[in-house]
Amino acid sequence: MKNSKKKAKELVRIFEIAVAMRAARLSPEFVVKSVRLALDYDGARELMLLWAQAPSAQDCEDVEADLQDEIDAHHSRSNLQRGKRKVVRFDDVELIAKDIEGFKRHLRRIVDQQGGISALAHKTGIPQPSLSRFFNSVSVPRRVTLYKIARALGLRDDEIITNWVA
Amino acid sequence: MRVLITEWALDSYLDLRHRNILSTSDFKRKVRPDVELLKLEMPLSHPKFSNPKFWGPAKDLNNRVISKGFKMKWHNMGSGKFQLRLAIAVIKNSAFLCQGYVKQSEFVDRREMAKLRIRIQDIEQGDFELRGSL
Repeated sequence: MKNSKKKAKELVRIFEIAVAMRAARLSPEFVVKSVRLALDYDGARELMLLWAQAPSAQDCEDVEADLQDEIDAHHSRSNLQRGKRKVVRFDDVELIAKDIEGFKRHLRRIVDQQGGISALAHKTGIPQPSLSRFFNSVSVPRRVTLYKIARALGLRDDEIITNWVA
Repeated sequence: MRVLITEWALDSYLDLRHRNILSTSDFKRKVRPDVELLKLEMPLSHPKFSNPKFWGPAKDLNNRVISKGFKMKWHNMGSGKFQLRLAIAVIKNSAFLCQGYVKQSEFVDRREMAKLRIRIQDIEQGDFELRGSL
């Protein structure tokens, strides 16, 4: 009984945070997906709690980017969009990073020609901090993210898939 | 123990290298030898693992221990004197390297521990990608 009361309280808190996220103008799609993830994963629930407790605007944005990363990762898996991943040799890591960096730089040029990151955020429903993180890092891009960006930019899917897509 | 490199770990390593936080030299001389200690038959009996400045349990937002979650720690890494952490899930006698990060603040640490909880749940459900092993 105690556990179910505690669980109910936690759930109510998640929905309160979802309302606050909408008030902060995060897209409905993002908020709904965050809540769904939080219902399945204790860690995602914690991320939402951290969003509500974030000490600065930057910390808030970092959590938004974390949540979007998790949403994309779990979406990819649930749609069985996993390809067969290569085992990576340590000596190849520098080349992989350069490859990904070059690809993202090229993509960023197209984004900038079409209104920049904020326009892309509006078109894709992906929070701006998440897109900034995507373009500023050399982490392996996720297929679901690339497809959303491709549609927003009017690119064909084959124009946007790189060797290292996850 | 087997030491397995997940996709999450690869992503975080790429990011740390890209941000010039972790040099190849630091990785080869400091990080990798320490992580390789996990390959020992009974790694946790190695004296290093009883040093809380090197190894300890992962804790959640409420400071409770995260089951199967651990952190390996390096202090004053590189020229920027970064606090480097590696979040590891130990499940069924395998050490899954999950994510490396710089502990810039307690808040950053809490975010990473929340993500580790998600990783652990995914690994237990068989929902993960491996990119290699040590």
